Amino acid sequence: MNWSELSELLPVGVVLAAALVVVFLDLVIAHKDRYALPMVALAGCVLGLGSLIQNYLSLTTYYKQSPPWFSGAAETAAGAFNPLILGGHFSIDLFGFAIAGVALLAGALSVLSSAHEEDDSALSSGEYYGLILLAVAGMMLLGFAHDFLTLLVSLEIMSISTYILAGSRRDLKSGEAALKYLVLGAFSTAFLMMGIAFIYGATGKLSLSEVLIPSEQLVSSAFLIRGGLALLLVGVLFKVGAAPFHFWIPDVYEGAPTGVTGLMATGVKAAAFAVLGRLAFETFGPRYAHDWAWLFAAAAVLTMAVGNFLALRQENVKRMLAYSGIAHTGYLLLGFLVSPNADGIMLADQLQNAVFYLLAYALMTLGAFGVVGLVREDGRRLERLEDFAGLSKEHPGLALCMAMFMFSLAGLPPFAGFFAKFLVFKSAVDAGYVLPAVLGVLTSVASMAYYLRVVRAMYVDPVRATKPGEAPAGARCRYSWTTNLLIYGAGLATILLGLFPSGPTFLLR
Amino acid sequence: MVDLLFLAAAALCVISACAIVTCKNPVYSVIGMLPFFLGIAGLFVLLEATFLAAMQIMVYGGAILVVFLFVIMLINLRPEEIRDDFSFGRYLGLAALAGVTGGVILSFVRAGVPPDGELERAFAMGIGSREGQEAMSGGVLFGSAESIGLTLFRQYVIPLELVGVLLMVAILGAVILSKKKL
Repeated sequence: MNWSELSELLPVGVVLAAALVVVFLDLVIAHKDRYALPMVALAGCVLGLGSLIQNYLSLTTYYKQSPPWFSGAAETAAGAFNPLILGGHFSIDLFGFAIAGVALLAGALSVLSSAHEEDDSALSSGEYYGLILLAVAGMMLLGFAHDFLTLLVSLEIMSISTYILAGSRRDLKSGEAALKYLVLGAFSTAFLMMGIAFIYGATGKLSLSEVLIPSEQLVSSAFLIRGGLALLLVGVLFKVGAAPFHFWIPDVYEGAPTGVTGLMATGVKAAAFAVLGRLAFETFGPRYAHDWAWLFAAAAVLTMAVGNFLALRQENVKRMLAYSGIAHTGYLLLGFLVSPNADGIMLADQLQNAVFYLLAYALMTLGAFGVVGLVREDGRRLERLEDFAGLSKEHPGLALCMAMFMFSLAGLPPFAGFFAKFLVFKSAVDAGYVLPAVLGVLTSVASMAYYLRVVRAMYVDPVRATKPGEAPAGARCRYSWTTNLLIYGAGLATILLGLFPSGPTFLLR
Repeated sequence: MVDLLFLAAAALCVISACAIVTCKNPVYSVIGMLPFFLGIAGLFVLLEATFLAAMQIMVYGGAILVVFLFVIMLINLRPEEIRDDFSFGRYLGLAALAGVTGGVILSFVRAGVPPDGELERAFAMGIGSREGQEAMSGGVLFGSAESIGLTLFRQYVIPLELVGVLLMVAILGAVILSKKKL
């Protein structure tokens, strides 16, 4: 093992170090100075992003070409870019960089949206921010992980941090969310581990790209490998929140503190899709697409239908966003359908589209959860649809951003969500899965109904009186410059990404 | 002989696992874990992983079991407080989960049950080969503490370090969830 390759993991090290600094800082500073903790956590995420970009640039300069999108697409000639480092435990490729970037962004934005919770001692403690950073470190590792062992450990770093974060508000609902998440999450990890054990038992290999390389052994133990991969997929589909393994999502998203919900909906989802993407593109690839892609397609169609139609009935905005997150998992799954005769360029294009979707979805969802976290009355958190009535009069800026996020989530141009959906539908059609893509467009139209309900509540619905005898007042928001920064920043990015969808790819050159 | 021992250990595991899940009294459930761990240790011995078998008994049968018992005694659950509040919806969810999971697995094993000896051959070609494993760890005896240590600290040292991060997560979690005033 070449230890100098450890420097490729420096961004993860920066985030881990920041987590330690935040936790220790909490012990030495006075209680009134605690507002500094989120700033340190934010600095950790920003430094991590800087280190990630620095790594990318130095790799590109060294090899005079940008890294391949995934390790399977790398050239094998001598002196060419070899993304596999540290004995094959990690793959330093563009997909990994992109997932790590989305994870850092989600971490930074959820720190920003939690920074106003100073009246809750657990949500303003160093441990809380430390755990967010540790979860982000787990997501980044998951983006780069290239063998089953590293993958499993990184997944658990991320999952256990989020189980704890879900329960960190320490009231009944938060506790219920954490317990449900823990029990069902542990259950899904058991599936994942059984799958890995089967595959390792049959092939003796742990590398994601090697387990299915055709050999005599693969033929003779096809039974075990198929069973193992099926178990593995059950675990992964659970983690991304695809139907029929989505039962935990609404309760967990509703009960968890809103900043954590944002992180779970975006960063955790992106990291889980990193695993799914590596399975679809590296493990199965075009060679096994006939065997496996139909399963992804079926899960995608079911997930889109379940998510969109259950979201129609929700009165609680957080629950509605949770079901909308399930629906978006369905659209994202369409982006991972591999055609049996795809070549490396087409696979790289597909991966790029899926990453664009993850980025756009992270921005608009974190923004929407940021607004939901601010709406409250007499210090009480309000999450119901009717509580948003009158928001446009009291806080026109926030209402405008929320409306933009809703339009973007529904997939209307000129927002980022439109191009994201367009690109994954295009991926699916190009790969030859026309019917799932058509169903995706149809459910996407149906989703307009519940996203527009939020807009109607903010702009059209009459304001109800909160107490009898009092004049009716619109929704009131707590003021927080950090969350406002997050909301307006995400709003701006949603428009910019929609107007210049090639922006992120341009940066990669 | 080995087959008989395997069947005995496996049967012990399955029966005690069922007992753990179905016992109403949580103390009985925990006690049921003891034969389960012993059965697993027996399976390890049959696989010639003697070090793992010893660890299984010491760590799980000793430490973890006692911790479980302590927790149950501390929260002092009485059997009459434990309710079976399984609603129809939950049964439906469980049935759907079981159905889909079973369907996924079945659809991939529809190629049929492998003929005799195929599983054994598959295992022998994978990790089961002692020679391959011993060659990897520099000729030390398969299943010994030495060979496990060498594999763990040479080839898998990075995942091992990451497990350290995982432990830190657990410690922070214990602080944030249990400390009265943060």
